[in-house]
Amino acid sequence: MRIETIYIEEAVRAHPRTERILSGLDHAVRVPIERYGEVFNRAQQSFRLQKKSPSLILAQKHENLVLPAPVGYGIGSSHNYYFSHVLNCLYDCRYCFLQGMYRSAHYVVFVNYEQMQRAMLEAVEAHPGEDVYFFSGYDGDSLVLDAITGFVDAFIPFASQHPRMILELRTKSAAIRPLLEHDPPENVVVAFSFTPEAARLAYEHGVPPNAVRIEAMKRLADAGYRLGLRFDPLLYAKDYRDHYRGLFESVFSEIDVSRLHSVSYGPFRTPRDYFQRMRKLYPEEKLFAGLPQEGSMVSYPEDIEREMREFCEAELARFVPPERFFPCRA
Amino acid sequence: MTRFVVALRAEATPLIQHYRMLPEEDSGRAFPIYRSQRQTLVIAGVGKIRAAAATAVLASKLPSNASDAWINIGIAGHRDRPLGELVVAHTVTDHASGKRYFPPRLGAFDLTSTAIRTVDRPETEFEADDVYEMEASGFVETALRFATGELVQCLKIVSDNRSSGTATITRESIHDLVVEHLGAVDALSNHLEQMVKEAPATRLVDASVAEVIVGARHFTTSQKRRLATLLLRLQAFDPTPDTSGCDQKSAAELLQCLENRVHELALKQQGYA
Repeated sequence: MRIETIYIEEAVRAHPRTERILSGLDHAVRVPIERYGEVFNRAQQSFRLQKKSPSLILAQKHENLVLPAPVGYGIGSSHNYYFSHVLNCLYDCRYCFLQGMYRSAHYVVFVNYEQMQRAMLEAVEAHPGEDVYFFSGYDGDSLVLDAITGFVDAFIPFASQHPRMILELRTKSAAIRPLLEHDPPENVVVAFSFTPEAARLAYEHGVPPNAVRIEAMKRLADAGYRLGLRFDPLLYAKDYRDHYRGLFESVFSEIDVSRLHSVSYGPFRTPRDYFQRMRKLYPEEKLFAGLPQEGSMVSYPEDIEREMREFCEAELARFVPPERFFPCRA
Repeated sequence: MTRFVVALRAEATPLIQHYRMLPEEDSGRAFPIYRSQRQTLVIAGVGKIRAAAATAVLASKLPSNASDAWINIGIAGHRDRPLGELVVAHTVTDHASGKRYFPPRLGAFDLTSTAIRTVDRPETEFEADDVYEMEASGFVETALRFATGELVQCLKIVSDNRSSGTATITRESIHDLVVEHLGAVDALSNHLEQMVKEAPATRLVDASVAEVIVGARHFTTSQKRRLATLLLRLQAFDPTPDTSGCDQKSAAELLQCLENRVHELALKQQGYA
């Protein structure tokens, strides 16, 4: 990945994090802007074209720094929030809702981490004596852009000081070196998303092979990190049983289940208007052709989805103790 | 296809010759249009309003599709950039309104990129560190009605600065400035066309297939839309979808039959490939 253009909000130009990011990207053209929306939210942009060479936007997040997580997103807690230090992702997953949600494929990095952290502390204080979960990775992979964002160095030490805060970093990346440079806090969960290897090859462009990510998980486990497994989304193929059985076996033959904080799965779900934009970007995509559009959410037909859920639950039960298993109920 | 919008004939002539464009017979005198197989060009005259109008005329006279690249080329001034330097705009500011555009830069153009400021009168003070010219904002705003922003670009060649004012600019010097940079124009045009090849082409349902299916039935507008969607889904599995067996009498029954057909195909054929 080579960033050729960086748009910089005037308000964060002198922010130390901006300075650090810019110092590593000397070659890039720098374009001053007032608010990131004037580049990111414009009409007449092609997500598909931009995805080939995204620019970087450095911005400040002003509101909604921490938001309640969507229903069904949790892993056992009743207080679930998510936050996004980054919008968009290095990877190009064909099923990803981001390509339907945003007009632009540029990466937006909100550099005001300190304000996000204050908002997280306020959310923790709103639930005295209880654990509060924070999910990162909803609007973009938590780790893959870490060389630019410095997210790990900012949030791992922060989380370690606040034990009631359970921080989940969701990722498809194998770039774990920044994590290994920290003592692993008990309240941090590094959650890896997997689909079968054949699905990764077909749909998850740029995502490292499953074997590489399983190896990364092992190294994190050895270092003492708690891990999550997210089989999300479940993707249908006529021979999905063989593929998912193989996936589960390859993961659980390598990963020590005692290091697992949680395992969950989630059926494919996308808001209908996002889905329509996704399909317009890739009209030839078979993955989309098998998905009927009824109601406000697009998902597999009920019979297929039920069958896949039942199959995966039964298979996962062979490996995962029930107290660590959290099927998505959305 | 690349569409060029230029202000002056002296800017146009090198491009017309280089791309072997011929005059479009019925383009009229207001905005002369030239074309070759892969390029079209319109001469707009000076100023952003003429640039906007000429862009619209070019789009309407020779109907464009969303994958055409649009390039505005012309001379410009800057306080101290050297004469003859070619730049591409990363920002276009309309000085009068303050409105800004950010032509996205896809990949590494081998060109200096900078902010361009569109003014209503020739500039001599060069207060901002921008390249000053008189057409870009009108061109960009209009071209964006016909193409996605990545394919709308502005190239400017520095013709004057604080050391060398506009008085020294001649038709010949403008011609020479453009000739000097034809290679870079070619490179940008090819780069954009290459990107276009990767652009999403919204695949249309073969109208004849839809007509046969519709037949004498009455379809509401939303049913026609659903039919088009279903045919697209069918085509993902089979480029020439077999719709035989779905000859129900009503539109609603027919749509349900096609929905079931897609469902069956997805179940049987969907693989991770």
